[in-house]
Amino acid sequence: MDAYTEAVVIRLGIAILLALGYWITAATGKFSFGHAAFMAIGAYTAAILTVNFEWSLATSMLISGLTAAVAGAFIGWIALRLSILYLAIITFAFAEIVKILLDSWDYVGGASGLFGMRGTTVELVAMCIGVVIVYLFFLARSRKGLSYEAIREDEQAARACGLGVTGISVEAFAVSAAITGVAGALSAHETLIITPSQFGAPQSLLIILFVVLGGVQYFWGAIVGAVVLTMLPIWFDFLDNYYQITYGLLFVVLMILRPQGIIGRSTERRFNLGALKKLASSRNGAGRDG
Amino acid sequence: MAPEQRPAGPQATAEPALEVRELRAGYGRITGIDGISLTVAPGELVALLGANGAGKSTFLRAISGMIRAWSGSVLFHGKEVTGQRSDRLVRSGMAHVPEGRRVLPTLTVEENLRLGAFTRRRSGDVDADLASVLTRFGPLRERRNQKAGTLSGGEQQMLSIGRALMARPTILLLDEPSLGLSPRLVGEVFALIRDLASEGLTILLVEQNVKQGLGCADRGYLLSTGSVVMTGSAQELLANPKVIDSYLGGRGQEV
Repeated sequence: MDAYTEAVVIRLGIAILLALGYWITAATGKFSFGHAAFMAIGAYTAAILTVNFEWSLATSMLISGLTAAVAGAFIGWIALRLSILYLAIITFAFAEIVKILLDSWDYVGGASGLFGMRGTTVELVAMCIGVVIVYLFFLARSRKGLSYEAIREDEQAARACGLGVTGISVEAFAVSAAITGVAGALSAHETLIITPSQFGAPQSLLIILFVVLGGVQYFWGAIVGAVVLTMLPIWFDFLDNYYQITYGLLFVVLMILRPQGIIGRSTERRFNLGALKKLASSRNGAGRDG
Repeated sequence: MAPEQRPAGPQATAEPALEVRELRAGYGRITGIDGISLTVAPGELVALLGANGAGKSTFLRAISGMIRAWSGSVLFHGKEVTGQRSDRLVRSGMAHVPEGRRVLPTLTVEENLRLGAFTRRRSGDVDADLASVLTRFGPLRERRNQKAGTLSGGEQQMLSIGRALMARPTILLLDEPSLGLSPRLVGEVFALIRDLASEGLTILLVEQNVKQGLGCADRGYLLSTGSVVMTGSAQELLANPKVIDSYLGGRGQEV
């Protein structure tokens, strides 16, 4: 494998890992708008450990995952008992705060960034993806996987079944943050220099788009989304300045034609006419609550 | 001390299965229920009746931990459970069948039923209960692997009740089970509720259909704009001219 292909493959792998990590929280219907923060936490944790303490990358990645999981559990515990609107605001604000703190923290180089990492390998990336896919494969067939789908589809009904909705969502959020943290650690050792600005809102948005584009119904939808969104800029390189426009149009068309994402059955009623009609009829029936 | 006497009939047991005292709850600043007290004895079928907007669903939700009660208390088998989380209550034997059926449409019938047993660990017992629920609800057995969203309204109501039974409750809170069903299906659902009660399950039923509700209940509470206006045995209420006048379409005496 030549250096260019290797770089593309590693980048693709990290994108897949980010998408899979995000998918876990999206599977419970909870959308975070600041997942780049967990990526940053993982990236900086691993970089500090490998550069300043000369730990091995694999061990540092484990610590990255743990640190991000703790941060995720904390944020989830605060935000997931509230409505999903609060979750969006709190996660967004959290990501901004993490960025500002890193910007002003001299130990990690402030805004000019942290460097001195040695590279990562395709094998390490592939191994991480393998572990996550095995986890998700078993999750999809488990009681827990069923509870995620129940919470995503109808939280009230899930509560009536006796599901501890908040606890389950927080756990999913923490696992999601952990995987995102590991992906951040790998990414820090691929770009070789990390600055707080890499982990801003555009990065958070990109992670969301991986999953929205691929579809939340199945985890491999997220993989497809990550691959497409990582390869498109490379394939459409010839478009030059028109790239962003083409990209935007492609998205609009896709969201109209396949609101459920590239992967996923069309029975999923989101953003389409059926959903609107349902909303209208439930409005008419409002106040019926006795 | 006097020798212990075992009184006959479930209603005479000392401790009620459910006791609600002066419960107040609502949404935002809007009061839904304003100080409702009610008791349900073990094995009893109690109906809470009232028109739209009387606060019936709010009351059930406040009991089962779906919303927070403002004040008052809920005692479940003598234990204070006010404000407890819904999953804990399900675990301790209180199952709530929410209004409007609320099955999970993208999951299969069997997956819906298994979710009902989520709080239980012993998978062998769950399998046995699944079989017994599927025996009770024949149509569901045939559609076991079908998505719940494809069921008819009546079948969804059956599934919703079956799912609650999977938690092995000691009390069942039923919210408007007749809602949106054809008269024939309403009859079937009430027959089912009576069957469950005769098997010894304690049931608190919330209904808009006063005639059907009182027809199958032991006792009834009539609710109007957030408070209880009348209570008594089902027979008493059905014979009460005021009830006949305001809820059963007249033909009672003028009061």
